[in-house]
Amino acid sequence: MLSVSTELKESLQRLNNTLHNLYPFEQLSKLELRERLQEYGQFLTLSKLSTTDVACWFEGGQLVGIDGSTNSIQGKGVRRIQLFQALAKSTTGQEEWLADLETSLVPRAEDFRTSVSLMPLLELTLARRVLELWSPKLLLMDGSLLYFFQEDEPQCEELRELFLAADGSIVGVGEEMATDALARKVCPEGTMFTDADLLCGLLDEGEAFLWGEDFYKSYGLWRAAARFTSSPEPVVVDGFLGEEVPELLSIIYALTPKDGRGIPLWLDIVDQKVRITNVVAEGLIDSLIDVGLRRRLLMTKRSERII
Amino acid sequence: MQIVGVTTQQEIYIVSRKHKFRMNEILVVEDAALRFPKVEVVETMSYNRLIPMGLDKSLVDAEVLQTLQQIGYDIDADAICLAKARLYEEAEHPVQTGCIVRFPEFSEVRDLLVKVTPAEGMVVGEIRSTETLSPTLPAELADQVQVLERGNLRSQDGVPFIFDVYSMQQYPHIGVFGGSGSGKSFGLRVMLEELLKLRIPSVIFDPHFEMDFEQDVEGMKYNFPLRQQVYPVQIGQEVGISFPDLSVRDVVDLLSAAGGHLTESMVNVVQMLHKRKDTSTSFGDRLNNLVQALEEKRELEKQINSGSLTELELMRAKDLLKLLQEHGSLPLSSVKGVQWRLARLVHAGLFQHDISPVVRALKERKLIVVQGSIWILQIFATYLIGALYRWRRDYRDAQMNGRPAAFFPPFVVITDEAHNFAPKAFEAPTKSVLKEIAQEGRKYGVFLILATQRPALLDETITAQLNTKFVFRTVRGTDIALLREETDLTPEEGKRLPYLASGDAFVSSAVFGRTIYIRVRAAYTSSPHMLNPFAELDAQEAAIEEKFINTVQDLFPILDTNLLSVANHLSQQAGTEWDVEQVKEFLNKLAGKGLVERTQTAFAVKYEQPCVKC
Repeated sequence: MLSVSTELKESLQRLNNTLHNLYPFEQLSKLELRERLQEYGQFLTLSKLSTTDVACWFEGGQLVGIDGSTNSIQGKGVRRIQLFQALAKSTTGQEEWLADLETSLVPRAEDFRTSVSLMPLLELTLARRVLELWSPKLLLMDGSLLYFFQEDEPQCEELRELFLAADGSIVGVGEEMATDALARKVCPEGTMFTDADLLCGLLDEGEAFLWGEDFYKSYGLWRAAARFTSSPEPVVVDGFLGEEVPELLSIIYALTPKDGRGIPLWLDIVDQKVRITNVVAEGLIDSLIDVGLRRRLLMTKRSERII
Repeated sequence: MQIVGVTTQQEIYIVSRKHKFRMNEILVVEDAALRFPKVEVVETMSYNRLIPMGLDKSLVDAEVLQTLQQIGYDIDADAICLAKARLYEEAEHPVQTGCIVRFPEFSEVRDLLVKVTPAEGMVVGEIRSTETLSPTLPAELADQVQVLERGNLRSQDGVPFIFDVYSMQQYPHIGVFGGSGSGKSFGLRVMLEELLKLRIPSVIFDPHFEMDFEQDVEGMKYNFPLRQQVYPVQIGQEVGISFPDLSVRDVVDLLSAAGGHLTESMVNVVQMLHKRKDTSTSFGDRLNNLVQALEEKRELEKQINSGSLTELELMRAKDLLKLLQEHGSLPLSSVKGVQWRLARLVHAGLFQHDISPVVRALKERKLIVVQGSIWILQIFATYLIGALYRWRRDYRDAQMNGRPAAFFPPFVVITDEAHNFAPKAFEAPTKSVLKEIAQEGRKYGVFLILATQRPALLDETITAQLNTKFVFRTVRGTDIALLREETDLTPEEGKRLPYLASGDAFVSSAVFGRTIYIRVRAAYTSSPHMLNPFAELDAQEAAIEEKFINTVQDLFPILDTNLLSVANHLSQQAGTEWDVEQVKEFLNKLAGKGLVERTQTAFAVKYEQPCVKC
């Protein structure tokens, strides 16, 4: 017999019942849900474009992907160094890099920004630079634009201005859908579903759901969930209002491997290139911070475990 | 190019995005602490992280990649090239990871690749993977060779491989190994051309009748100018063995070479019957007489005593009787065994000439090509090499001892199929003299170039003395194992042996102290056996057809009622007999091939030449 207290068992049983009430998955009927969702947006069937169609759409312009990566080296207590790196890479071979670091080891400067985290800052800076320098036909951001708006609205507004002046498109693609605005409208009071819960398994392969314009009008964004692959979980795609959304989604559909997780291959290529792996982070610290400082500030007893 | 990963004092890994590494390429590491060590690439790899092989990852969608390519993405840009490289000399400590690696200039690596100028050595080919050195190659080494690659002649694009013949005094003898079709015979031809260029007296034994230098290869920048230096001889026609010069031992050797092992008793026969200064005729007669005497034994005395013989017959009978009394104890079968062996040699014309033409040509610094079938070649080679080597040795010994002696030149002996001349497992007539030269020859300036496709079958003592080995494609495991043991080929190079392209070879030489990967240059001359035997069938047939058509040219149109006169005409003109049936059959065959037009008229069949315009 496992020695578990009766209280703990009872607590878990109670939680189980509460979860049933908060997340009544069995009540979500696929057909019914689709009908109700149509009130708040529209379902789109994406066309399967050929290689030539895609090439035509690009008209010789380039595809640019932007992604960032971060990793940290944890020292004793709160001492740590966090490394940030962002990369914009175009299909024609051009690259722009930005990098920075944050550390609790030195006192913060007086004008230190507190509201914005470093990663989206770097990525947005790169996006603006790339729009000006390369004027790409399509700029893919890793992460939804909505997320960037929430992190750094002023830069996003500047980006929108550049977008309006330029000829290309900007699209954010995110793996995770953190919103629940749709769920609040569609689902009964008292439930705690998110938009992701609703849309999981609801879309057919090559299908997308486009939120009604009202939802994110304040940000000036359109937002869609799209299932590009066999995986039932859709990805979120968004962009500035004023674009030909079905066409854009079809292009992204063509750029996404059908067996993958639903992210365009180009973003995966950029991600692979920019990623700061543990080996790289440790290697950098080892070779660039002197050994005495490193041992005193950044080595933990934990890291000296021998088994 | 940059060093990555773990390094040792002997080996490093180099990575490059642009440069596709080649095997045996030489590179320089920018490690000042180790005085810029030079490395040689021993393993190459290429990897594209977007197209992984891992079974745990799904393959990247080919269609998406294609789409990305369409909008300008160069997938090769994400491929990286990796090379494992070995240091030429062990470093004092491991090379620093991260060091930049660059291509050397020729002057930096000259010592590793070139020891002599092209005029002083044998320019055998081009060193593989030295393309990056060609911009800095000095004029004296540029444009020395042409190379045949994938059927096309191209000019030199790297460093020429030059074998220093002078180094043979220190590191004597060359072995040329490789299976059939590996380019071994071709390599041998190139070496002979170079020996001719250097005017080194040489003798080659050519059982395949392929060492002919008459035919120029088309497309070469210049033709072979040294044809008059070649002196081809055939055993029994220009050269042979002078029988009176042979000692008993020589005769025994010769006879055993002529037909298998001599029994003790046969050796005894030769020792008893052979006399100094015997000619082949006198020795043969003595054998014949003894056979007759042994066969007629009892009859002889009876005949002498009967008194019915003429004086001449009586003299002969008495001679036979004397022979019988002297050698009657010899068994008849043994005497007969010696008799037929000698007859075989005489019949081959071996004793009609001597080797003086060879000696003369050798003194004129020529290349003597000795041709004959393999068995007679072996016998002759035994005698010839033995004699030449003795004369050269006598001259050198006399010179050393301060005695006056006539000059006899140093020389090189070359054979293909060397495992027949000096086999490992059994005795061959030539073996002992080749073995002696292998061990002692360098003292006297006599050198061997031995080619074989079966190094494992070649006598071990001789193999061990071959200080330079050209190893072409070899497939047999036993041969590869032996070559690995006898050379400084690395395990990686050993693995490459079965896959070498025809004409590519590893040169393992004591002169260089390491293995060099080369491609043999294009020869100036070609072998007479270049035409495929099956292509020969078509060529021959076409020639006959052409001759036929030319002969009957003026008789067209030919009616089948008039074939008799055509047959007569052909018989007269062509010199061979033709009858009506043959002519008809031949014409029909030509009609079938479209070379003649055949039409059926109301009265007869008509053959015409096809209209050129149609």
